[in-house]
Amino acid sequence: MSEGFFLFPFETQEGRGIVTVNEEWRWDWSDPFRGLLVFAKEQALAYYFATVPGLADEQGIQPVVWIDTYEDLYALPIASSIDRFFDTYSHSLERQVELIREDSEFKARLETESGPPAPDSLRALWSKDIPRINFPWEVPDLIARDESLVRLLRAGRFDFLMDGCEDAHEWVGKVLAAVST
Amino acid sequence: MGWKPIMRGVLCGLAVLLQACAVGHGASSALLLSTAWVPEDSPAGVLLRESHRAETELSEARRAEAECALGQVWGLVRGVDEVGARVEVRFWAHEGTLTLLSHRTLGGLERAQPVAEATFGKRFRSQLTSYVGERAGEVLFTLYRQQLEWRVDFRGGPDTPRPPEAKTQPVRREGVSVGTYAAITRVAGEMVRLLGGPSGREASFIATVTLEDDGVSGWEPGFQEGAGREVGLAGRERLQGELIQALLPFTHGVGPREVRLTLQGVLRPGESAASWRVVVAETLHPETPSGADADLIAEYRTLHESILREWREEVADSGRLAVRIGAEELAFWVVGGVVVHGGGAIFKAVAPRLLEILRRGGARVRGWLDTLLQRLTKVERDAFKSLWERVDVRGARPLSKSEERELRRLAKRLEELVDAPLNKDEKKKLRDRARANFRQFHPELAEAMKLGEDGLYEIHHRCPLEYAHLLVGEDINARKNLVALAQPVHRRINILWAKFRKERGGSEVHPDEVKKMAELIDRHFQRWYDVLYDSPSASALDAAMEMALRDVELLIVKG
Repeated sequence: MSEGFFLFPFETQEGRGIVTVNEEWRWDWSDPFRGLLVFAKEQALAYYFATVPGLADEQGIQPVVWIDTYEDLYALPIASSIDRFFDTYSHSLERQVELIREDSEFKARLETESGPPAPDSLRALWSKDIPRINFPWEVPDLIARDESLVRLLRAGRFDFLMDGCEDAHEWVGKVLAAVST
Repeated sequence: MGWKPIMRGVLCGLAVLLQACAVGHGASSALLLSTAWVPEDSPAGVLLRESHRAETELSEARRAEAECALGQVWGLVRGVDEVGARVEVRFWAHEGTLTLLSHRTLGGLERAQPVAEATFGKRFRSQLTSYVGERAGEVLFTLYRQQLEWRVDFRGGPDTPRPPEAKTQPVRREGVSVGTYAAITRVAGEMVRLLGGPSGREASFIATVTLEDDGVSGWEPGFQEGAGREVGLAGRERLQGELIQALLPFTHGVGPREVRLTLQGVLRPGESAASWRVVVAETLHPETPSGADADLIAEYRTLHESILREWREEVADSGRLAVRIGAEELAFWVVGGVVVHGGGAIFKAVAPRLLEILRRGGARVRGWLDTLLQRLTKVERDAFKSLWERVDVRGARPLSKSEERELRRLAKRLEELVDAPLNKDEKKKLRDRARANFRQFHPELAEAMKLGEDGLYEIHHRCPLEYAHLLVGEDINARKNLVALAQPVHRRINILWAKFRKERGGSEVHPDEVKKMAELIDRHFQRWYDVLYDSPSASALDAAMEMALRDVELLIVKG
């Protein structure tokens, strides 16, 4: 998926593999972010996916966070393990497909009511828009299905990665609210 | 071939302007290829132009207006080859613009010698320029046909208020679009089929044609007497040509309007049977709006005319550039549509900032508004889209009470967002769109950089999203604000912005500071913008970073 994330390969000719990326990461960022293990990244955007070694469980399984490096760093906790991350992400893709279907139905309804969009009209412009699920921001309810993660969130174990970021705390609030519903 | 040359080619191809001002009734002979003006830096999705017009551009536009009027008058008189004939042409002049208000023709008694267009043009052009000049108001030209030439008299008209369809901004284009010409030809053809030939000099026919900007919405026959006589192909073609020439000059006006044509049967010198002549054509003026909406309508007209003028100058016919017409339609919806449906006062009350920004018009504001709409939830955006469809400004039903309430709510919501900083969630959404936009703007570069294929490059906003709310009316995802950078470059630039943010603390940042900071970064890093990254340049990058850091410190000290 060209607009989703990609996993860092072990190593590449250009030196963009997981080892180099993590070396650079530790060089570029200070604690607590330098201790994270980066394994994936959004295509062409500076959003990263990483595990949190400091929160590994008794089997050594680490939770996953989504990191925004554009301004002051913060991370959103998105899964209790890499397995759960893939599971949640795949559900968000299902939702993406559903969203596209709903959107095409909506466009078809408008077309039935008002006829086809005039060439170059505003509706014709909109018709080219493909709606996207804004992961992870728009799927707090999917994240909330991960019970182990929710336990960590309730215990405030990720707070050290969200210092000073109101939006992140607010989003975690949405995740927790989605658990109780 | 890149996107830009393709677009330019397409636009130029579509820009087949009919030099309708100077054509006869043979439509095929009227086709003159011309290239419409296409801005040098016109990307596919966004056209960024300053609304301010340079003096040279204005004087070119005034010259085009005069040439266009000259062509229009020639179109009206060229078929009137009777000694003693008189043609009165009434224009509205405004700072170099000329909008035709009416024309009337009175035939002569004796066949005259032909007059060459060049001879007519040479003489009339100088009179037109010297008489009209900077004059504002109604101007009347009376042209008298003599045996070998046309004599022209000029006088100013009565002191009347400016009619709503009159242009106030000169348009740098002389012809009409293919679409407009085709529509007028179609209307003229329908009239000819209905009319046939006149029974004699007592025959008359009245029709009303409805126009909106360059478009023809329809026409209706009115009073008629003595029509329907069988007539040959040549007669039908001549009438169609005359009708086209009578109507085309009116398509240069602004906004919705009606033009009434009066035809009479005449006996031309040397002809045995009567034929039709357009004796009067005039724009009908509806009542001037008054009350609370009058100001808003006036504001809207100015905006609408600006957009229309740009459209007329830049793109012809159905090749209307999507962004351009999108801006126009949206502006029309927001201002015009709402006013038409009696909701103007409500909208003005709940979203005055939004209206103020939209009044600036143009693609940049459209992009800004598009970003604003992205901040609504999906449900709200869909509601907006549905509502927009319902508020079809061109003759739809008025808004229901609940639709009006919904409109008020959406307008209020958008108004609240005008100055509100983007939150993290919205920034992510806009970065997704920026990535898609960049691919559209630079497909070849995106491919070379392997954007979307685990590549090294990232999309960067020259003016960051963090300060987007300070740049009200600017499209943050416009082509000029997006560059692709290798990660090491991007990371350093982000560090500089972080320093700026930290040093400025919680104090209010002025938009000028943001612009200065963006320029500073451009100065030091633009050699890495939109190019393939060469890792041996890392030392140059470090040197640039060092100098940029020093400059950022200076900028912060200076405030």
